[in-house]
Amino acid sequence: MPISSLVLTLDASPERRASALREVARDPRITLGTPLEERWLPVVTDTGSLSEGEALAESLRDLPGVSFVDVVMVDFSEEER
Amino acid sequence: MSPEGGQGSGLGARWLHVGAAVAVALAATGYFAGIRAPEMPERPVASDPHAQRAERAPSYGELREQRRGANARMYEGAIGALAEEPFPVKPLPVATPEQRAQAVAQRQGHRAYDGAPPTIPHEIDQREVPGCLACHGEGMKLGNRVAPKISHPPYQSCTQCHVVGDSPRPLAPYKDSPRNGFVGLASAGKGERAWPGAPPTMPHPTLMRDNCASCHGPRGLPGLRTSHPERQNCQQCHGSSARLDQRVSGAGGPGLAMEARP
Amino acid sequence: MDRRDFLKGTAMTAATLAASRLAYGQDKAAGTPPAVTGGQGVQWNKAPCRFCGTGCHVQVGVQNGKVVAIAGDQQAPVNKGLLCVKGYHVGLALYGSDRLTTPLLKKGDTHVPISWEEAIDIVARRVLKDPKGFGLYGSGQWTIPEGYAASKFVKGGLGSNQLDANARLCMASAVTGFLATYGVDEPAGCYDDLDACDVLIMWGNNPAEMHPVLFSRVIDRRSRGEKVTLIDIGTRKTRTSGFCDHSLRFKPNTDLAIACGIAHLLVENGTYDKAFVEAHCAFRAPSEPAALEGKAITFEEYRELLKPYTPEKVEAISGVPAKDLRMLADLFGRRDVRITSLWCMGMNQHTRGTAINNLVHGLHLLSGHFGKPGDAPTSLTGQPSACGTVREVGTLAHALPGGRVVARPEHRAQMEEIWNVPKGRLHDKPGYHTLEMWKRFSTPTEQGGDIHTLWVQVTNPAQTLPNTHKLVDPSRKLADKFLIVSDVYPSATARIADLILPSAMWVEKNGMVGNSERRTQQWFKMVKPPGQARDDAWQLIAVAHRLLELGFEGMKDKDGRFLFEVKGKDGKPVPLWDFAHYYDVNVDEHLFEEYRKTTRIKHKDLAPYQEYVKARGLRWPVVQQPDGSWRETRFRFAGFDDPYVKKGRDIQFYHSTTHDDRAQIWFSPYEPPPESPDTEFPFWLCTGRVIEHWHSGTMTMRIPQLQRAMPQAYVEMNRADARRLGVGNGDQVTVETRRGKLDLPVWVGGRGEPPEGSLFVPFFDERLLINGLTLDEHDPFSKQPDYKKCAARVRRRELVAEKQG
Repeated sequence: MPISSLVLTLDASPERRASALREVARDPRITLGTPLEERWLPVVTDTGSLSEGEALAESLRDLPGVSFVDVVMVDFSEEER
Repeated sequence: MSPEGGQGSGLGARWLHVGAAVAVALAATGYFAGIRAPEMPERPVASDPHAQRAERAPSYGELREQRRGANARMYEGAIGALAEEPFPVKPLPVATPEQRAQAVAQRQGHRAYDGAPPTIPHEIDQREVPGCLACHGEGMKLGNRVAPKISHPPYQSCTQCHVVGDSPRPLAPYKDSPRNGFVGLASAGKGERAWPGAPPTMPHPTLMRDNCASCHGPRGLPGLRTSHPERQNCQQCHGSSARLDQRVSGAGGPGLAMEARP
Repeated sequence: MDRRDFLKGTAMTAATLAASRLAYGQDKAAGTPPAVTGGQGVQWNKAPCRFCGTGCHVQVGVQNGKVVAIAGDQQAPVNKGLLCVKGYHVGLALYGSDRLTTPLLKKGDTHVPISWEEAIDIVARRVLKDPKGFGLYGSGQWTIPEGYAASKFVKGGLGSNQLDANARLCMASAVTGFLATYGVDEPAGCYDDLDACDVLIMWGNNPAEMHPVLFSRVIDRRSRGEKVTLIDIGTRKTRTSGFCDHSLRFKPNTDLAIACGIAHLLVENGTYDKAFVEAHCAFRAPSEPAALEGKAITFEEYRELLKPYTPEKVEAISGVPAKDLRMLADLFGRRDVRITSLWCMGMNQHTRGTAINNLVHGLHLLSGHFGKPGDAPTSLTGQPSACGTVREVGTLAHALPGGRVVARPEHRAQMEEIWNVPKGRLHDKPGYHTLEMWKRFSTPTEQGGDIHTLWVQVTNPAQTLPNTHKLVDPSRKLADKFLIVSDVYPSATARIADLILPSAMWVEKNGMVGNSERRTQQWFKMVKPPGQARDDAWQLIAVAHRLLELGFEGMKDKDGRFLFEVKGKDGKPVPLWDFAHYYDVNVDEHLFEEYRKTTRIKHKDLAPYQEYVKARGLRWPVVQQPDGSWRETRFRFAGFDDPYVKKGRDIQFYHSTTHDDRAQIWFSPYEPPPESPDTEFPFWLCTGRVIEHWHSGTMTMRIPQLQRAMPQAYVEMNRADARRLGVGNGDQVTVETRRGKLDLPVWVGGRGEPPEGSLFVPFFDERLLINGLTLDEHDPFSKQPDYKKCAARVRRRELVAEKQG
C-alpha cells in the first residue's frame, strides 16, 4: 500500500480549477492538502500497489484543469516487505 | 716488590678496580637513563643564563619513544607504501555489508553519536596552534595509517571541536568515574534509492561533512568508500537532504524516501 | 494515530513543502516553527546550549524520549551552525549514571530517600523557623523564569533580601563597571563587533578555550583573507596566545597600570578623540570615602593623575615593554581601525575588578572606539544566563527585577504593585552578598551567624566558593545550620547537604536564558526528567504553596491569592504545586510575561514570550514597530540602531550617572594586590578553566569524551621552576597557600605556560578542590572575590612526607 506525495499545478482559469478539484476530491484514494496561492495543490495518494499509484498519477496528469503533476516522493517501504 | 711498592701497586690496583666499577656504573646509569623515555630531559647546569632557558632538543630516538597510540609505529614499512602511486584512481569493489558494519563500528569508537565531531586518535600539542592541517589538510597515507582529509572547510581552531580520545600524559582518568547511559544516534545507514539501481541520496547531513572524499574516497574505510572514486562531482547524482541540512523546517518524517526537486 | 495516518501526515508535509517551493520559489525558512523532524523518528528542536554565556543554539535530536544527537543550529546568528566540543556533547550531560532521582534527607552519615511531600514540608518549616535567616543561593544557570520566581519568593514572599547568586563570583565587577561608566548594566556592543573589528584585544582572556565559538568567529575571518590583529594581554601563555599577533605578559594585578599607561600616552600624544570626549564624556576618579560613583574631575586633573604612568614606569610595574605599550596606544590613537576589547574572568575576578573594568571602558571612550560596529568594549559572561537571570532579573541581595534596587523606595513600590503585595512587604536593606552569606552560614548563630538555612539551586558552592575551608566547611559542623541543595548530580555541595532535591535540567524543562550580548533565548521541554527529578521553579512554587498552607501570610498577595497563582483556560487556578499539573499551563510563559513588565525602566524591553519561541533569541531592547513586528537592538546608545537614542544624536548615554547623557572616563591608580608572593610563599597561584570542562565539571566530568580528554586537575608551572624544584611531568607536588594545601600532579608544557614564578590550577575537578587554597578577598564595590592571584608555595610531595614523618 504505497503512499505518495504529489503536487498538482492547477490551471489559471478558475472554472477549470474548480472542476479539477471536484474530480480529485471524489477519489477516496486521494487526500487533499491546502492549496497554495490557489494554484499549487499538495495531495497524498494511498493506493493498493505501486503500479496503481503510477496509473493514478498518470490519470491526474491527464485531468482537465491540471497543468502539471510533480511527484515529490514515493514510499516503497511496504513494497519491499 | 717493596712493601711500599706493593702497597703502592695494591693501592693502584684497588683504585683501578674502583675506577672500573665507577666507569661501569656510570655507563650503566647512562645506558638506563638513555633508554628511559625522559619525561623532563635533564640538562647540565650552565653558567650562561640564556643557555639555562634554552631547551635541549630531543633526539630522534626520544621522539620515537615518546610517540604513543595508533601513530606510534607509523613509519615502519612506510617507505614501500610511500612508493605506491595514488593515481590514477581505479574503480573499487562494492563494499560488502560486513565491511560496512565494521566501518560503522570503527567510527562509533570515537564518536558520541552519528554526526558528533570525532575524537583525535593520537597525541597532540595541547597548547600551540594546531598543526592538524599538515596531515589532514590534503589527507595522507603513511604505511597503514591514513590521515583523512578533513571533511569540512578548514576552521582555524581545530581543538575547539576535536579533543584527544586518550588522556594526555601525564594525566589519567579516575577509575571509578560515573558511567554515562547516553545512547547516541546510530549511523543513518544507506541512503534511499528512488528505484532499484537509482543513485542513493545522502543519508546524513552535509553540515561539516561536505567533502565526500574524506570518508568515501579511495582512502576511506573499505566499508564506506565509493566503488567509483574516479567520479569527482558527487552531488551530481547523490542528493542531499534539505531536511537534515536544516534548509527546511517542519517537513519530513520517518521513512521519507526523497525530496526530489520537480 | 496509526502508522498509516502518520505516514500520510508526513507525506502531506512533504507535498505541502514542495508546493510552497513551487508557489514561492523558495523555502519558507523564516517564520516556520522551529521543530525539524529527522530520519528514523528523530524529532529535532532548538535550544540554547546548556553551558557557557556565548549562547550558541543547538538542534536537539530526540528519539524515543531520549536525546540522541546534537547539531549546530544553522539559523542561529550567534554560532551559525558551529559549536564547541562541549556543545556537541551537551546531550550526554543528561545521562550520567548517578543522576539524582529522589529527594534525599541526611540521616547520620547517609542520605535516605524521602517523598517530595516530606521534602517540601521540611524546606517550608525551615523557612518558618525564622524567615529572615533563610537564604536562597542561586545561579547564572537559573533560567529567567526560575530566577524571577526566586526573586518573587524571597523578596515578595518572605519579605527579606537574603537572595544572592553565583554570578557574584563571575560577573559582579563587570556590572559595577558598566554602572559606574554608563549608569546602566550590560554591553553596548554585541557579537557583530567580532565580524567588523580590525583589532581584537583580549584582556586576561582565553576565548580559544572559554568562548571557542566566538573566538572562531574572529579567527575564521583570516581564512577568508581578512586581516584581524589579535592582541593577548595576559599573565600566562594560553591556546589563545598562539593565534595572536602580539602576546603580552604582565605581572598579576598590573593591568591597571597598563590601562593607565595607554590612557597617559593617548592624552600626552594628543591622539585621543577630542570631539567624542567633548560631546559624550566626563571624567571621574575614586572618592574618599570610596563610592561606586566616585568624584567628578576635570580633564586637566585626569591628565595630571595619569602623569606618573609613563611607558617606562609602567614597564617597571607590569613587565610589559614600553614599546608594546606605545604600540597599544598608537592603535587606540588611530581613527581608521576598529577595536574591540574582550574580557571575562581575568578582569572580573580581581580585587580591583570594578576599577579595571572602568579603565578599559575609559580607553574606548577616550579614543572614540565606541558605538560603531567593531568598536566596542565587551565583557563576556561565563554562565548561560548570568545576564538574563542574575543581572536582568536581579537575583542579588541588593537588587529587584528590571534593574531596580531595594534601597530605592520608588523601586520597591513599583515591585509591590507588580506583585500585588501589601505596601511595605519589600524590605529596604540589602541582604548579604555571597561571601557574607556563606560566612554567616558558617558562623555559629550565637556569634552573629544569622543565616540558619541556605537553599542552593543550580550551582556548586562547595567547589566554587573561594577559601572553602572558611566559608563552607564550618557550617557542616554546626548542628543548627541546614543546607538544602537542588541539583542533578551528587556534586561536591550535594554530598554535604542535609536535604537534596533532585532537579530537572536543560531540555527536561521549559526554559529561557540571556547570553552575553543581551540575547534572550527560549526552549521547550523535550524529554522527561529521570525518576522524580523536578523543575527548580516548581520546587520554589511548591514550597511557597506549602508555606501558604502552613499559614504564612507572605505567600498571599494583597487580595489573598497565592503569589504564584496561574489561571487555566477555564479561569480556575491551576494547582501548580502538584507536579502532575505543572505542565497543564506554560508556567514559564506566565512568569516571563509578568517579568517583562519590569524591564522598561532601564530600557531593556523584552518582547512577548511567543516572539522568542519563533526566534533564535532576540537582543534587547526589543521594541515593537508600527507594523506590529518586534525589532531587536544590536548597538546600544548608537543613534543609527538604538531606538531610545534621540533622533539626530549619534551617541546618547541615556542612563548617564550624571543625567547629562555622558559616560564617565575613569582614572584609577595601580595598587599592589592584597596578597603577593614573598619568601615564604614565593609563587603566584592562578585558577581557571579548560575547554573540555564547564565550571565545576558536575556535568562535563560525566561525559566520557570530555572526561577522557581532560581527566583530572593538575598544576601547571614553568619549565625553569620545575627544574629548580627537581620535578617533572606527573610528579606529585604539594601546592600550599596560607589557607590550605593540595597534592597535584605537575604538567609542564601542557595546556598553558605560566611565566616563571607562577602556577595555574584548573578548578573543574571535584576530587582536587583548588578553592580550599584561594583568597576570599574581594572587590570593594562588586564584592567579587579574586581567584586569579594569591601567594603559594610548592614542594615535592616526598619532601613534605619526610618532614611530617
